[in-house]
Amino acid sequence: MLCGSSAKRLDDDFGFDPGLTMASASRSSQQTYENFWKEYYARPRSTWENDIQKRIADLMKLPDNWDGYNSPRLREDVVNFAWTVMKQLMHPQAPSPQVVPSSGGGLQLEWHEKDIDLEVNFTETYRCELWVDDHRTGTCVTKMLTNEFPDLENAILLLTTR
Amino acid sequence: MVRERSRVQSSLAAPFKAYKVGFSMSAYNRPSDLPDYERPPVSEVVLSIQFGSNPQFQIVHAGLYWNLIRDHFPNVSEQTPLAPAFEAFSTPLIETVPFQVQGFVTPPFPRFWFESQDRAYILQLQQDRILFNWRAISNESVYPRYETLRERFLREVQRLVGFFQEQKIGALSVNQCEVTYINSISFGKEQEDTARLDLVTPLWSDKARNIGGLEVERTLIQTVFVLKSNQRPYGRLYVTFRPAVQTVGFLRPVVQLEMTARGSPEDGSLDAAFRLLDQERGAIVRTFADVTTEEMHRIWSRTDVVR
Repeated sequence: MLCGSSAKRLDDDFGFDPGLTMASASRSSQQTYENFWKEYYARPRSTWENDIQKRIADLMKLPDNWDGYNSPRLREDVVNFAWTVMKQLMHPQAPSPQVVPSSGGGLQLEWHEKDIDLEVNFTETYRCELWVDDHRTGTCVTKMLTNEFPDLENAILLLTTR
Repeated sequence: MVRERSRVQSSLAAPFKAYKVGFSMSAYNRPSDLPDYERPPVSEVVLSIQFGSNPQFQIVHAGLYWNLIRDHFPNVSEQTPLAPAFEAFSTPLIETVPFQVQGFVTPPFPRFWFESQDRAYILQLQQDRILFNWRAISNESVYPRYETLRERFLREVQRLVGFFQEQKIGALSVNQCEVTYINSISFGKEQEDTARLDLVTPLWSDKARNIGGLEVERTLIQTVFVLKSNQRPYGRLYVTFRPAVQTVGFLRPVVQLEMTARGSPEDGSLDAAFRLLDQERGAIVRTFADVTTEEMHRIWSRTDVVR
């Protein structure tokens, strides 16, 4: 049996490159479930995406000790993690957050509108602090999140639909 | 033909400088309950560890690092860096286009390929990731098995940690681990039929062979499994069956089965990282047995059926 040899792909994949060296030759534009969502969210580009990216681009220029308390500059891995999470949770019409650096190289996103205070502080990859205060219902949630985000997802949905 | 259970390439067996990195390098044995094959169709394996980006790690360090491994990996080239990857759980699953912040304030850090003399082994290094590949480079290539690759990868990661210490770059904190297996599956016939996925996997039913009188030309199956521990998700296993063309030896159509398991370790330590790599590899091997048919298992000479 002929087996175990390298091959060139003929069809699309999940859209990420796992670091293959021989099998990653061809990526067609065939419409997959994931590509559908990618394209869906790519047209037109959401306001919040533009706002966040512009703000992060500015914040990345901050030097070490930007706050006078020896805080390091914004960490790229934390920004990338925050972006991955927000892209999964944010609806196209979701309101843009305020984006501020947090001590330790983290990134904090804040919304204060529609009687909702929502703050999520990404301090590390797979580590973020969530605070939601809904003044209409009196519901207040404070949580440490790792890789599951139903509370943040619900809060963003509420912000988007209220 | 990829042969099995042979020695590691001698070019990689040379000793390396030992570093004290606070992590014991104990031997790892194959779990006895894993499905096994005398002739698995593996054509490439990638072990990957992603770590927190560190601005102190600069391009010039990659050159210094190459000096440490040059005897084993004499060939070097630059590639586009891989995008950072994280597995977050929410609904629905949406593929996120990575947001590359690198380059805003510093020049982009490339991904370096350090290749062994025979180019079967590749150590890949970029600012936030180290990867180790084995790939079949000819029909005579020998799949060295996960245990061998793991041991080699562990040595290289330890070497990198030691290098970081020596250069005062800082600690290496792991945030994502990934195992990928590529299997090139053929039927041993002159004329391959890449529409006959039903022969390879139970995921594809023969009913789809002829729908509405239309002839199937190619078939692609993509499945995502959630990896859980104590009912909580820690990663995902991506499984893709796709038609491909074998490019080593004779050009011929094959079905390529790509399996990537990716997740976040319990903490940033190497100990947790390699535990997760082992766990991910176990998930891949078990799922491989589940998503391939018994007919193919016979062709690959499955040696155990204990699950």
